[in-house]
Amino acid sequence: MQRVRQLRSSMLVLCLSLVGISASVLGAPPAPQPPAAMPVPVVSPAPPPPRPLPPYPDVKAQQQLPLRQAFLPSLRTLAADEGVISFALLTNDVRARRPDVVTVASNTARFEIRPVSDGFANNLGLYTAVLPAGRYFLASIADRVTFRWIDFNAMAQGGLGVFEVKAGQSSDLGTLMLTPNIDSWLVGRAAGVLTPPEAWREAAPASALSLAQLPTGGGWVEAAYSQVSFDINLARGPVGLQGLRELPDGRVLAPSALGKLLVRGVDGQWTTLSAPRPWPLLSATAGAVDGEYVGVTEWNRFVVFAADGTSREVPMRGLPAGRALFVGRSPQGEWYLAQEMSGALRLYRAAALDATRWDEVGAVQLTQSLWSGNRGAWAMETPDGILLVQGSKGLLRHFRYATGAWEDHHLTGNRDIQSVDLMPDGTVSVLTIAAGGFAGMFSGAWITRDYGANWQELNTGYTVKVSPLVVSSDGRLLQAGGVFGESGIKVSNDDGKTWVQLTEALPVQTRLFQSKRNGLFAIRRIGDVQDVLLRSPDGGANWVYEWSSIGRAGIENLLKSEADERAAKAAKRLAAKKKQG
Amino acid sequence: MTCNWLRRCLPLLALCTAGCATPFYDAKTAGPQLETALGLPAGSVAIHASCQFGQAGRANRAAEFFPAACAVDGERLYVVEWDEIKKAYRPGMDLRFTAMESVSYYKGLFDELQLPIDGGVLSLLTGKAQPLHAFLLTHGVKDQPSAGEVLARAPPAPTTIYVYIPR
Repeated sequence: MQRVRQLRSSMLVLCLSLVGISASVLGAPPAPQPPAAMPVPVVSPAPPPPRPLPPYPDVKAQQQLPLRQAFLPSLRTLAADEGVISFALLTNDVRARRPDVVTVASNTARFEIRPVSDGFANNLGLYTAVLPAGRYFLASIADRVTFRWIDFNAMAQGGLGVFEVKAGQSSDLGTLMLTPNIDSWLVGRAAGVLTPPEAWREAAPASALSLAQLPTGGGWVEAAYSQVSFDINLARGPVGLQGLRELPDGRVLAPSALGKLLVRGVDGQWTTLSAPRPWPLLSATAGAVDGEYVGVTEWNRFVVFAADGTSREVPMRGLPAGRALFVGRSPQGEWYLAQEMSGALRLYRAAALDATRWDEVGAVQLTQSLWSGNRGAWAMETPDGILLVQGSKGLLRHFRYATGAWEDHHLTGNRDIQSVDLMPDGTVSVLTIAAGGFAGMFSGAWITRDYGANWQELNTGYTVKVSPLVVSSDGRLLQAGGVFGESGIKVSNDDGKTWVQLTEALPVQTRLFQSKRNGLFAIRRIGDVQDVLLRSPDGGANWVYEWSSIGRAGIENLLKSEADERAAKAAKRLAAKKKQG
Repeated sequence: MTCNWLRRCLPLLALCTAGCATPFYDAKTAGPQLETALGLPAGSVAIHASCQFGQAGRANRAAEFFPAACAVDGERLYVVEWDEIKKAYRPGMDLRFTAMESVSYYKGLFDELQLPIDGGVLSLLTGKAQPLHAFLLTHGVKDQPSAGEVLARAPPAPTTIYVYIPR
């Protein structure tokens, strides 16, 4: 027994030292295992002191506890033995939704807490609830849209620690962060990263009033191991890229999670700029001053990244609450903001970022289908304006800066669009929604060179298409794919009539991005959770490392082992052919 | 046409199904039980009904419903939870009339009472929507024209709480 305890204790210390606190993922589809050659990302924090595991009930015992709903402070009069907690939870992955439900547990009951103002954010959730006074730990989180959940085991709970709710008092628990690792999620907390009062006022005005009226009290009872995990992940960097935007001088911007803006200078060097708050950065563009960048984060914040590396928030005023997805600046110096809320993506304009009045310029609708889910909407900057794309009925709305006029066109047959890419010359490439097909099966690839006035459907060389095709600057067509065969990129030099395999170096989920001055970029996934940015100097045949969320060395080893594997396969095929011949 | 009809009705039918199973509620005895649970004087509850409540966000179309009862007295609207283990009511939500911004009544396929709440809407639908609306108006809550139905599959507001009261 003693030996088992020792072993358990040693394993705990080892696990904590390596990856922080790991939580078992239940219910989610199993993540693909990384190739054997892929090294574990190396982080070397000071190992936390060993500590006996607190007596948290195991997952099964927790699930036996009665489940109750926790209510917003505005929807419940505080009883004498009740207090209020509030916290933020963010996912360090641009593609992972914040949970719909966070369950906390005492020794006698579990309480479900829901995020306030769901529509404001995707990666960041704000939560506040009335709870009976007592001590609690984090029991589980769930996303009922994607049917994923995590039941935190004793190790994770011990790492986060216990928080206390005090009667008649309110406590801000700070920010919890979930970071994907290869086959698990790491959870950490930072008591010091607090949600600003104005965010509560926007999200839940009545509850914010209740919070403000209560004296502060309660909170985390002890220091947590997972504080280390949070800090490591904050320092290590964001997971996932929202997309790339190339500025006219050749600099490339890649907004990401944790309020990080990745900037590729004209010299090809990447630097990472940090927003004051680790909230997901959704879009970025060049600022009004040379060397300055402007981004938008979830929960309606402008962030100005100054040339000296500092950053500051500029509150959005004169705008309704919503999820800002795009920021742009016209050559005339006017600011444009596209914001998603109440079933629409609306474009607003103002003379300055801190303007108190933003005028609505136009909108497209966001719709939902019972059969095949959401119909998205996109905003992107074209060479002479802004393009809004409505997935439903394939509507393209192009706004020209010069004339201030809209030009609307539908995709041929009013087909629904599932994804869209914009080329530097203004060519728009879309992939249509399949009629209930799997992985894009039966989707169609279309391009337009005049913002939707005329469309061309193209054969792409892959029967199953998962992303729009890319039109390179020399007129070639490129398509990433290969769901049921060899993955890679196929190329066509004759407008889609014939296709040849250009490379097998990239997996199916790769997104291609054609830039004007820097060639072709590819965002590929590793282990289903991490992103790697690659660049091809020769139009897609060869790829070099640009950036990744898990470091250069590991990725280069991986790319090399993949190349070796492909070479070995090719040699084998050649030998088999010779033998047959 | 059929497809549109199904799209519209399936989530509502799901709501109806969720709201039908309320064996704990007895209209004859619920009033005093609710008053006890809420610590209210005897005879103060003016209207009560069994209900189910659930919360769905904008993207969360599958609201999970919990058994409860609705009640109003001269000051507040209550949603009182049913504790399956203790077989008793316990306080859940309560909204003071004076804190209500406004109330809207929507007459559609199902009647609906809509109350703006923190960052969203509280939607009481089908049974008792009309008498509750009238009751709230007589108690000084401002009437506001409805912006349309609040559908479970596409809630218009960020935080949407449904309270389904069987007819």
